[in-house]
Amino acid sequence: MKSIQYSIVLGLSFALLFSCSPQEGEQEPLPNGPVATKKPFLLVQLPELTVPTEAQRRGELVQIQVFQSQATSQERQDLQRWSRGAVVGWNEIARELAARYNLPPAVNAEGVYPVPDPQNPLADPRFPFATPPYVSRALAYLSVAQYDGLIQTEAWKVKEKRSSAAQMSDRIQAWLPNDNVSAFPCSEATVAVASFQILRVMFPGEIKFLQEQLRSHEKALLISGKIVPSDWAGGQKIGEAAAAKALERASTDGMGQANNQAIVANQKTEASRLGMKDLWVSQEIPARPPMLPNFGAVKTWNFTKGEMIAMRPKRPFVVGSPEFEKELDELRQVQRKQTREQQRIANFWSDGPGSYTPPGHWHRLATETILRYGCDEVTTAEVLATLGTALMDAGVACWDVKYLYYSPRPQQFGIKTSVGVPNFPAYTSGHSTFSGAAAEVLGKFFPNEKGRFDAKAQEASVSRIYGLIHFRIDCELGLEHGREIGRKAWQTLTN
Amino acid sequence: MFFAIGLWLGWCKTVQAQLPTDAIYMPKGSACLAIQGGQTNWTNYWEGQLKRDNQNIGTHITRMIMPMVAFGLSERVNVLVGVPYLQTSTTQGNLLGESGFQDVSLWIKGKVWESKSQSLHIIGGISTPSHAYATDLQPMALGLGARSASLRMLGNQKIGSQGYVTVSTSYQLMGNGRLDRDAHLWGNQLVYSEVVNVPDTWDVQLRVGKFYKSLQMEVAMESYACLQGDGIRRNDMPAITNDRHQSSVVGYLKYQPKNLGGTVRFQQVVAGKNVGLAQSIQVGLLYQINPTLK
Repeated sequence: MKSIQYSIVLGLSFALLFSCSPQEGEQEPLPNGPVATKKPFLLVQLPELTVPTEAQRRGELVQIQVFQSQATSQERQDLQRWSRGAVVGWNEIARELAARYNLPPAVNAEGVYPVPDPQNPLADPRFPFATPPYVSRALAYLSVAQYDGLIQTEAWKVKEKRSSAAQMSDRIQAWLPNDNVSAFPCSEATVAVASFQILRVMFPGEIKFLQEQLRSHEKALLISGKIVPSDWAGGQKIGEAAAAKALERASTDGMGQANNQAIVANQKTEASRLGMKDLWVSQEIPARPPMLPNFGAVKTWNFTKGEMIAMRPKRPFVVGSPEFEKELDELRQVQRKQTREQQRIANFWSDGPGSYTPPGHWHRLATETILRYGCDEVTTAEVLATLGTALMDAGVACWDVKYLYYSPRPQQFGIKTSVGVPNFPAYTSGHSTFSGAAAEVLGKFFPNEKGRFDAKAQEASVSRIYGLIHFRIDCELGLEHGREIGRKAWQTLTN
Repeated sequence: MFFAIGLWLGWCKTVQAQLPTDAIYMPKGSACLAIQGGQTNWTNYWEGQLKRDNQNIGTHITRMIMPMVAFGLSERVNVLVGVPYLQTSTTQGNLLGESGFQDVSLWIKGKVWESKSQSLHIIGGISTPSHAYATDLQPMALGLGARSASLRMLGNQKIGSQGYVTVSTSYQLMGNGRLDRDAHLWGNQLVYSEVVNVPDTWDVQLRVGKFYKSLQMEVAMESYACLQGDGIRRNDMPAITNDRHQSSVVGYLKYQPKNLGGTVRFQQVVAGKNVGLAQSIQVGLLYQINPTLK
């Protein structure tokens, strides 16, 4: 028995261990984070980790044999599902929860929109209302906890080099590929437990569902022939520690004050002082309080508050100016003769209620590329954590700009919409900022795909003009702002 | 002769221009040209089972105009074709209305058995979207965007010399719908596909009517239900995945002294789930072309 305590990952170089390689038909082997040493996003304090002896592990093999002989078809199906990767699997779960919870509260009989209550998450309205900022943040903490946990686990593996259950016993089959497996601590356990701990806080009404997912994942590993129970237990401890650190940050990142409606009056005064006319007004009936007016004050990942202020896009065109009129005219023309293709693009990127929001959309695009390239777990987590923090930063910085200028929606000037009007100021476009940041990060990880990601970001951005809810300047400067935010995320990772 | 066109008054306006649901036939070689115009309104709707209104919609309005043709292949077999042009709008809020031709429908109606006062009929129908209209933004979209095939059994009983009772039921098999988005919720499950499993439906209809010279008067009860599907989530928009149920009462008048005739049809939804509490009024003009006399 031995125990090790350490705070950051051991100074090992993992560059050769972790990679992506494209599947057949791909052009050439790409990408890999250029980092030789993986750094965690947060300094995780690990608890004492009990390392099982080989005799202990051998003693557990009989359990695995029993699990395999009694495996149900459901368990085998679950194994197939989880075999695509723990990081991707839990990312998908998070996106599904985001979609389920992305519903604005209904107005009550008194004409008031009740605020979702985290203490009573399944009451009407349910908590959370999974808005784009909320989802960007949930996915950021999820991905960071996954990544921080995983690199610790991998560091242990390099030291321990334990055989898989199937390698240790002829009576156990390898139901997952397990050549070169180092079984202790179990990486899937780290990812699953870290994810579970984050998501149960972000979606407190879904604890039972999440427990089922966690149990299914654990059982999948236990029947896979890869691990024995104490390998899972080791991974679990690291996952818990990584999640605890992430949740500690989350509890003090300012989200608790993000919906502070008391500051709105001052925000409007400040916007007027900056020369803005015809400030944003809720287009819902009855008027709904603006979405998360203080989300711009939430703690960022990859730049300081000062840097964020320095990056702020300039003031948008003022109502009545020739530039403003020109852009309003563009929307009038789209409204008069929206083509089917414009409508398709607007719908495709609508990412509105009942969807996983733009941050979820980009996590999806990232995981699809990751799966296509066959990236290993650490690279997967690294891509998603970098993307996740960049998207949350984009949300924070964009919301800062939105409430700085408090700019009006086209609906305040007689324009209708084919996708639904978000309930917050227009400038800059959230879609554009999220997409610019995401494309920038993903283009760095997957240089061969850069053109594709940039085109998607461009399309997501312009979709808001086609959907008639943004002026062109909202989209263009939002996209550029997003790109800058993405570059900051890449710098943090590579510096 | 003429056929009645029933409208399904849910989100989707006419899910298709409904099957002719009567036991009336065109003579062999005759054709009937008809044009129907109408409007369907709802202010209240059922979000799942919850009846509510929505100030961001106010009243939802669907205007329709539908050319139709019926043709007598024989005294016992008629074929009918129609395609509605729709326009949606709301009185409040800022949702952009849509307009365009919806689904082209074709029915073949055949009399399979007949006694002095009773008859039995089978009506087969198919429909297909006239073009790839968007279905994402319900309730503004033109329809479900799915093909369908249906089969109806219809029984008719004469009452006295001029009266009748008609009972019918049909099953409608729906093809897949297609969204512009490539992910959607089906209940609680996030489906990563633009292809949507649009639920099948069945319906029952009961009509009672009487002819009085050139006038036909009818009242009816019509009810349909999806066989699966999800509910509208709390405060969400409807979707083509929804499990729609609807019952309504119908009043219908037709006056056709000679070749030229007219119809008026009123429909009121009385119960439902995931549909609008709609009223619909339609008027029609019809013109019958008879074969040249030998």
